[in-house]
Amino acid sequence: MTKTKPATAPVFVTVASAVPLTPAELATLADLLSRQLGSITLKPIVKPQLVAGLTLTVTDRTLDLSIKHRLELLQHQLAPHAQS
Amino acid sequence: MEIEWTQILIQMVNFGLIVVVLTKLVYKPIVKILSQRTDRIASSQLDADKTRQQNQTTSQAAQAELLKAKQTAEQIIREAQKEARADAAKILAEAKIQAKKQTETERQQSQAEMKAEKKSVLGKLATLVTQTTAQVLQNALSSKEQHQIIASQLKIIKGVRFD
Repeated sequence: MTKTKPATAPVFVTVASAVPLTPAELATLADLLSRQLGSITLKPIVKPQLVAGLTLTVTDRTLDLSIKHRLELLQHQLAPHAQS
Repeated sequence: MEIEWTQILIQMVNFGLIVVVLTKLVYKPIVKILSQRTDRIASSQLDADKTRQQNQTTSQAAQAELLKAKQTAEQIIREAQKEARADAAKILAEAKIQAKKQTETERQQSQAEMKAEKKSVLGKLATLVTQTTAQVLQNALSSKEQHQIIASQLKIIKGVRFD
């Protein structure tokens, strides 16, 4: 007797990058995410203000790997309580 | 020359009468007047002595009062000077404490201002550094380098759990 996996709605993933991702990069990313999340819908967007790197938003969670985010962290380390 | 005894007798009686009359009418009143004058002078002398003595007593009393007043005044001045010195010392001590407090307050205020200024400058500097770095990187990173970064981040994503 075999159990059939119930069909679930695809997880919506937004990937932001400073430059447009190549089809190979998109395929790699989709592969990595679908292994964990199952069916996904990947929406790539280009944000030059990220400087470099990627930002992933999976439903309500965000993984920010962009250089802009790294620079913001650096700014907070340089002046912890300063108002920018 | 014959001596007329009768005439001599008459003259003697006459002289005696004149002496009696003069004694009665002139000498005694004059003596009386002189005696009264002497008494008056003596009385005046006595009064003058009494007045002089009173004056001397009054003068001595006045001098004593003056001396006493002078001593009292000197005592008051000494006490006033002592109180003034004590007040001056108290005011000076309070002023020193106040000045110390003021200095401490100003020092703390100055330190707080310096700290705030330092924080502000650091914040501005950090913003400037990061913004400049972002600008430089945006212009400096080639497409190849951008994709190298993405490739390295894909490796990171591989190790992240999303579920």
